[in-house]
Amino acid sequence: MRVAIVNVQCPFVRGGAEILADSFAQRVRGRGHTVEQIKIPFKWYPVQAIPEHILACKLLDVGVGDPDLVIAFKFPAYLCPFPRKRLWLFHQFRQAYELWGTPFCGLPDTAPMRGIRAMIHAADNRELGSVERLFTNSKIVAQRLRNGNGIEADGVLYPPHDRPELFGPGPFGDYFFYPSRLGSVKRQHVAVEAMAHVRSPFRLVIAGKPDADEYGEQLLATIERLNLGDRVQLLGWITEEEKASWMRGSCGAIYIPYDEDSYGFVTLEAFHSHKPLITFTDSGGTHELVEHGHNGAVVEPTAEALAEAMERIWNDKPRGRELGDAGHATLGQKMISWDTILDRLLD
Amino acid sequence: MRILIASTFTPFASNADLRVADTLRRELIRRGYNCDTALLPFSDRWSDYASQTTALRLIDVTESCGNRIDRLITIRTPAHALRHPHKVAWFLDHNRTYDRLDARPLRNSDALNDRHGRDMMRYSDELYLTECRHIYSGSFALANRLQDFNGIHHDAVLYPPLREDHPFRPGPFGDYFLVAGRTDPNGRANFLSDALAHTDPQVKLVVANRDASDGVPGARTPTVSGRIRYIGATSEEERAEWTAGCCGIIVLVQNLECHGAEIFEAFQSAKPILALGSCNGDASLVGHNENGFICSPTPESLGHAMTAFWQNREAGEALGRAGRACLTRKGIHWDRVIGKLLA
Repeated sequence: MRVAIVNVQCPFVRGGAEILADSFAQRVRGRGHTVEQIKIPFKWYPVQAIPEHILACKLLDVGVGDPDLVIAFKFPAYLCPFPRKRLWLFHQFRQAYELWGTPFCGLPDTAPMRGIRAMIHAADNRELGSVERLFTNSKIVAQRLRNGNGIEADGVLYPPHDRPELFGPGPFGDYFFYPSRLGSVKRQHVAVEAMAHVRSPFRLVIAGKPDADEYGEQLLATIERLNLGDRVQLLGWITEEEKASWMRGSCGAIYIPYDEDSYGFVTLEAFHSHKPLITFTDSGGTHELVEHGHNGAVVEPTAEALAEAMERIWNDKPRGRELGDAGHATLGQKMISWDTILDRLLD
Repeated sequence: MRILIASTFTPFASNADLRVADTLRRELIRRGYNCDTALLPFSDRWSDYASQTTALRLIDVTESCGNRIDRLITIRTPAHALRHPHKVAWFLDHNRTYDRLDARPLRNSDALNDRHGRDMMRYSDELYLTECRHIYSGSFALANRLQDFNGIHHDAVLYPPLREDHPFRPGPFGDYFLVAGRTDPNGRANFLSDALAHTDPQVKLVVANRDASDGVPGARTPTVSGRIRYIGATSEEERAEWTAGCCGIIVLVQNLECHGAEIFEAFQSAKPILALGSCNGDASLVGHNENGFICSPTPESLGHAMTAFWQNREAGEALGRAGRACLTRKGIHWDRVIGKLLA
């Protein structure tokens, strides 16, 4: 079978969704299918760019080369017309839904923008309601789809990690580890600010490349302003192997995005490494795996609460290990596997 | 500096231009540039040309996540329709529909649509190409087509070199000729075995596919006393080995707008080229008795040329050395290409 995998692309940016799409393509090939990945660049500002990109996706012909099946992941790429289209929905255009009216929206509440928002909702209602099959990557995305568009997903397919074998248990070192793309929605700045409230001698290690140069500069300025140069380390982009090594040696992981769509690869990496994970009450998808006091900590979204959660794990390492082991056990209970995903999307 | 390389492509097909785009990306990264690619599907159905080109035009690649993209280099047509204030076209193909429409009398039933589609293609190409800061052609043939069909002047020819860490190198001249490019001259499946029938009986031929998706016409026809060997899909390393050991490279496909990579592989390996007729559209790269031999596009003519090379190895070796010298003389290396594209 010829399978075209259609996704959006932000050139020069590579995060969890891109890695997941590549892994998925590789696994579909592994089942003997011919795969082509189609990545459509997407830019959502100024706001006029949004309807332009919607129209571009409607006009581009993803049927070139006669695929038997199209599988799409993200807005607006999933709007591309094709009779046999299935969706593994990573997320919709969040700024027009649950982020609308929040500080993370980044879109003006103006009459033209409200018109564009209505257009996005209408396009989603039409397209998402008529695809052959529709799965989401988390319960929260399915719930948003129900709330925002009145559309019921066919099920949730939890994304597995591509290289779990890299991660494993290790010594509890003197640092907490936060690996992710750097961006305001991932809130690394809150983790840095938390370190100003920490009394114990542990450090914070942050790995990842900034989505926008500005945010990276802002983090550096915060570290300098709070005089945290010797307590907070910014590694920049690191390889998967380096990431696994840092994770193994940490005393816990941090993943505190705002209202994330899924549990995030950081959560999987922490649990594969038997480390507890600290997340926020408003982090969204992480709650599907992280349970407060069982395999990590779910705390209020403030620097003070994060500092306190880190202190608790640091000051009771046997308890930290128990939490990490429970995290590892969680992975087995949730049946997170590629076979499940391929069976449901390809059959 | 952030550099985006954009190209159209045909999904589920072999795309030579994508290999060039990927090599360019690697070479830019090796030189310390921040480089990414945007590859967009584009149908050959020229009746859809207008809508697909409009789609490209609507995609904004001036920035990504708030970061400015400093340069856009477009490869396969009509990626030049993308919007960018600093756009450079490296024009490696020109839509064949231009020939078809100009050569074919329009039928009454589709005349209007055909004319409309052709005009749309021509005007949009001209509009978007003239936005480019520079236009470089992959060959003189392409430059001529741009001039003839669109009235657009190019800045210079930039032949697409092999990647710098390619495995091709000179080797001792063996007892076979190699066909390592496209193998179907106008659908004549038996062309190679017919040619071999006109050679010295000791002459052998090895036919390699560039990758699994290239067909080998004639692969199942009887060989001439076992003198043709079809080796199927080859990796680059295997092809380098076969090229290093051959006594000449045969280039069969005629009138291509752009030079096949096998010509540059032959040059790197210091092998002479046997080309058919007006092979590759312009004679600027393969010169008769300069670095190869240009024969008429008939099996007899190719067979006689192979015999001539076979009988005079020294002449073949001299032509091969001249081919290798061409790479420097004509500036077929990435430093020049990148210098021009980023100028």
